[in-house]
Amino acid sequence: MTANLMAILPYLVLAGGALLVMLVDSFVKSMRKDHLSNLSLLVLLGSLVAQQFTQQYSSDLFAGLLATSKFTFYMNTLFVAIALLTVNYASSLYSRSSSFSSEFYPLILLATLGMCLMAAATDMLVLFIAIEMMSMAVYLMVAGNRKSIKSVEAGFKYLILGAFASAILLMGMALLYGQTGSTLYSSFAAVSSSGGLMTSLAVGLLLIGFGFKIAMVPFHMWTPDVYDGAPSHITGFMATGVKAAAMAAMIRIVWVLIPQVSVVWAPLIGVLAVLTMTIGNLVALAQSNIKRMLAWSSIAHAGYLLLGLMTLLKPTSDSAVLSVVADNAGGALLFYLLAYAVMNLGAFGIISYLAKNRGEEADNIERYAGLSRTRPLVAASLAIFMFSLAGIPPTIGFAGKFYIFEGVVKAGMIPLAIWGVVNSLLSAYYYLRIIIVMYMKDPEESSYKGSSWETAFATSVLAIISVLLGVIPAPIRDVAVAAFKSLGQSG
Amino acid sequence: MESTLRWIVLIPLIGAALNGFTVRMMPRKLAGIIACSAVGISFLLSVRLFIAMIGMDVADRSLHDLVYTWISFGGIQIDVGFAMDQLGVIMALVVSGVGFLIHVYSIGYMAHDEGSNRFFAYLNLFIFAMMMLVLGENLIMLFVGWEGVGLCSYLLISFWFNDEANAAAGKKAFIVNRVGDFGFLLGLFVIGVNLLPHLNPGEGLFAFSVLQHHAHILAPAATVIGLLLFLGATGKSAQIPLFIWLPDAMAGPTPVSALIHAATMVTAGVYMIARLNFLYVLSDTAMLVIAIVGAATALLAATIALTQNDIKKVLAYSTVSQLGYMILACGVGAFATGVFHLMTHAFFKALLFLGSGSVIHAMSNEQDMRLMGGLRKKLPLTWPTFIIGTVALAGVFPFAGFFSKDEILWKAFSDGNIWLWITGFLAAGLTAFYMMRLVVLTFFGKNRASDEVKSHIHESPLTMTLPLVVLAVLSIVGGWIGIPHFMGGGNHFEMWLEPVFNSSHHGAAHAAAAHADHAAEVAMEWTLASASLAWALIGISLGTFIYMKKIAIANAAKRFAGGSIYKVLLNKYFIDEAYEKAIVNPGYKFSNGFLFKIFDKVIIDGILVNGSAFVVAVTGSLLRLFQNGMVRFYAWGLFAGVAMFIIYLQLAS
Amino acid sequence: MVVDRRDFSVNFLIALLITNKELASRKYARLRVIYIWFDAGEAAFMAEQFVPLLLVISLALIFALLFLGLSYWLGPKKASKLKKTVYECGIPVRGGIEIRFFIRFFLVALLFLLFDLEAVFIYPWAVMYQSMLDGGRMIFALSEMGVFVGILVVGLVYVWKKGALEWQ
Repeated sequence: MTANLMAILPYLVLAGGALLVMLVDSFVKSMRKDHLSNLSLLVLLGSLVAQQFTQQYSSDLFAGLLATSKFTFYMNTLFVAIALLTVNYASSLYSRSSSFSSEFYPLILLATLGMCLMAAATDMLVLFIAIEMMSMAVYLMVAGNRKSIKSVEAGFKYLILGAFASAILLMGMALLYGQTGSTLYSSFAAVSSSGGLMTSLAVGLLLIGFGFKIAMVPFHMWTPDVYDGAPSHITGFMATGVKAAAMAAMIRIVWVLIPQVSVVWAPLIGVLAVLTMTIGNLVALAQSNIKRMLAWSSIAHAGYLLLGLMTLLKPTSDSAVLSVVADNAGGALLFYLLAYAVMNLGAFGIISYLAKNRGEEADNIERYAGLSRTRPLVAASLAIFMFSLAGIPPTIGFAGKFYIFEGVVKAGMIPLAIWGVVNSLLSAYYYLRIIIVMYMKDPEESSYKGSSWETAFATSVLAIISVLLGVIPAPIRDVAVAAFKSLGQSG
Repeated sequence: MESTLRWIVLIPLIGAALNGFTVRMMPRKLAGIIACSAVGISFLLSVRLFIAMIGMDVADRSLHDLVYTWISFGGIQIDVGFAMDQLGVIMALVVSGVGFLIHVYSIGYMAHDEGSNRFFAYLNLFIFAMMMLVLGENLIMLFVGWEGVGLCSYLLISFWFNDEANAAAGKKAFIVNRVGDFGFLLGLFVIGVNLLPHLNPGEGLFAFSVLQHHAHILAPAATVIGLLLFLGATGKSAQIPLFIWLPDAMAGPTPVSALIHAATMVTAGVYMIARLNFLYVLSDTAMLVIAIVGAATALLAATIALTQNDIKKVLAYSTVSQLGYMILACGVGAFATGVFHLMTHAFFKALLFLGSGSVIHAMSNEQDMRLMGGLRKKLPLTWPTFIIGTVALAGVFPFAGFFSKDEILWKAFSDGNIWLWITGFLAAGLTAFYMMRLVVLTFFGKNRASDEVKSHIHESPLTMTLPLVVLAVLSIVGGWIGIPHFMGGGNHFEMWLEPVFNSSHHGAAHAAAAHADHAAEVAMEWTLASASLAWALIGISLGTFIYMKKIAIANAAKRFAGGSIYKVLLNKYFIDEAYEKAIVNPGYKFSNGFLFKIFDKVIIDGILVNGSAFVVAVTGSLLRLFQNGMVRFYAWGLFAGVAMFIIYLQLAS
Repeated sequence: MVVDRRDFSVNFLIALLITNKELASRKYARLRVIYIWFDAGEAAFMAEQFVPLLLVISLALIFALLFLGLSYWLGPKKASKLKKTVYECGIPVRGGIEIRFFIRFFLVALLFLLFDLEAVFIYPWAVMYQSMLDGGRMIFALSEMGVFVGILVVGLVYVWKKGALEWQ
């Protein structure tokens, strides 16, 4: 028991921290919320530290409910880092404006806990609780700007549709339970070899449930409205953290169920990947609101992720080749999650940096005019993020896409890779438009001007990371591949 | 593993970054000090490695510093790493050493210029790129450095970009070099295509050691590779047919001319050929082409130099001519001699350029020699150092130029092709002549400048004259490390470089060894050496005599054959005009008429860009219709998706 | 496809997926007419024991509708204002049906629901408690519930301090 508790110490820190922040929030009355943001940062850092010091890998925690491995280490570090940045962005906003309520802080800690558990769960019930823990917190955070009707509306929409998605997910879980009589992942392997329509349907429903979270077409329709309505820093958190968590859980389940899943769903996932990236990019072209644009772009990026997942599913007769291809594809997926988190969080960080008081959002692209003159550092960072999102070397976005497409090519699906590259080209148009507005147009009276140095600093660091890992991606990629491999070992 | 190497390369980059990012804030003096110390540290580190290398066994004299693997996929591996061997250390010493002196000189020269911080940032960036070029461990690193120096050259030629002519000169240099780089890139591709199937795992494609190891695989393609890469060299090292950019490049500040367009960058082609000697020896055709181009360039440029009136233009053509010698040396297989001349030339040509800079500085930026004269007394330090540079360039014993140039001529002679020797020999005499013309017009006689300019003539500050003195000393003693055997010297220079070129038992070395009669050979060497010394002295005295005493002879020569020869020479054989007519104008017409008006406007802009944008925009707007904001509609879509999944499952199973 | 008839829920789902081909097989020949009448070949999952039930429900529906229809058709219809008023008790309705409640009601209802539901989780623990005591794991059992109740208490304190329990 003690060993079990030690292994989940990072999670316990998050859970306890969330309660602590709640208590502090209710007892300390203060207009500024700096103490809460600092406390939350401490909790998150504590979780990171706990993670570093208790690298206890076990595939059989609490009788098989949880499994920790290099995979969870990688994902948890990513989640906590995302949460750290989000809190960083939020702190300046929340200390200045009364439209945001302080519940944000315990909520983000709980959401992070949920995401970490999603990556670690090896039991469907734990997985479902984790998903709901994350989702509930995110629904509330989306509606966090209580003076903005858009924000509240977005939260409401997300809640309703999310409930549908959860229902579908639960249906899939019920079917799997019906087949196996157990909720443990480890019991799926047995049933997966015999196959059967019911198992396939169950996995399909699970894919839909996760597909909703990562904004896969045709379950993406909520995305633009919700991403647009939510406060920018929450949008960044959703686009990176929630997506990564859903992807992590999906990878784990798919990897366990690979034999029969691959046969049935791989072609459909391929088609949906293509549809997702194409529709995402096409509609993004027509947006004049930067948050909507990034929402559609995040749909497009979900398409690239699905392409990676597709490579994972690709059935190959030669098992030796399969494992190598799969290791690389899985590593590429995990690397892409990180890459996407770095560049997208950077972009949303800057949007939230440029927002003025009273919860106004800096979402009009035209008003980015002349940012290069008024805020050269921030403009340069945003330019780097845009280059990175468009996949232009030497940025982390390029490296991420490169690894994904490399895997796709190696799996022998060259047309898909070509389509992916064509999509990248398409996306360059709308990403570069922002750069043009920032650099080629003169600043105007109405142009945005930010003021929070913490956010500017954090985004500059992210920009540097984007370039650095774009030039030298190999070490992180090796870590990602190792993380993925550890998944295979622990089941 | 020697991680000092990366710092030799990176420290100038750090200097460039420091100056470049704070270009408006940094105090000028500090900028100069930062730039100088960056290069100085680089130089000291190179010296340290050089000393360490002397202490090593010959076989170990090869340092490697792998920074990281840059690209690794599909069997292609390209590392970012540096390597230093006997050749690399010479180049590093020359680049950082001469570079340091020129940096110091620039403090004085650019003292009154608004953009001096920018200037130093560029200069440091240049040193970084050049170091990458000479210390890169593979062809790709070399190419990155190659392009980097090209960029810096462009930036520095058009440093005073407010003047249209300077900007045009920069563009010309850049575009002409593109032609060469195109060849260079093609050469790289040919190497890659040929080598890739034969690589073992872990071997970096394009790494010099790997190329050398697999040279036999490349043998069938050696001529093609050699010529394509040489096209790159003709661009960078200003050889026929691409030398036309170098004289125009004199539009840049004089330290730039000294550093980039005389001492270092333009020798990149020579370095590249010497570095890839193991490839070049595989192709006699390529070697012959190189030798002929080198010799022809040496003579052609020397004749043009006879008539030029701009002091820097004369030196520029002289540089082209001397580069021709180096290329010639490589062409006859005497790579070590080529590098030897590269080094001595770096000393005395940098000296001459800096001296001319000092003159120009004194003359209030006047460059026309016809308006100079009598500066001997006014510039007490510049003038003797300039004379030393001149005699070194003319090839007078025992100055540096004598040993290296004589060695080249001897190697050309012993290679067996008498015409190469004759061409080189002729050019040597002309060199002495035009340099004396320059010296006499500048330093002797009466001053022909306006009174106003006259009143300002003054010797340059210490930061400018000190490098002159150091370079003058080097121009005297620099050749002594390569005194050939027949004079009783040890020819240490060639012995030092021998391990690098030992695979090249070709040309001169080979032919020399084949000579049965050693005594006769030594006699021949003595004869040729005396002949070239005499020839140089004749050139010098003729030049002195004509331009000091009998200017009428020169005027008569101008009128010879109706003045047409003079006109041809003065106008540089009308090569620029010919290129303009034959290449630039048709190219412009083609670009404007077809590429721009039809291909670009109609096909690219009209059909591809706007057409596809139209299609995309229409599709995008259609898809937007689904985004109506109604939760009910979204939920409906969600369940339609579920239905789609189930239908798919029905169909698929 | 193997159909497990013991489990109704599984049967129901399989029914969605079963094909007409199976229905056409000899095994179900006797029931074919009824199924075709249902226009759902997918209903083939129904085993014979459900048929009487189905018949009873159908008959009940038919008779009910029949007599309601008859009385509507045969009965006289003479409407007057008095007939339309509320019969005997109650008061006449005024205004719309969208009555506004004070938001506090919702809040209290929500909080009640929340803590009430949480209490449900104590039951399984209580069921297991004796066996845990027998297994000598009393400390664990108690601390487990301690943590659970502790979290609830934190929630209660939070709600309290935030003022959700105050009526004004």
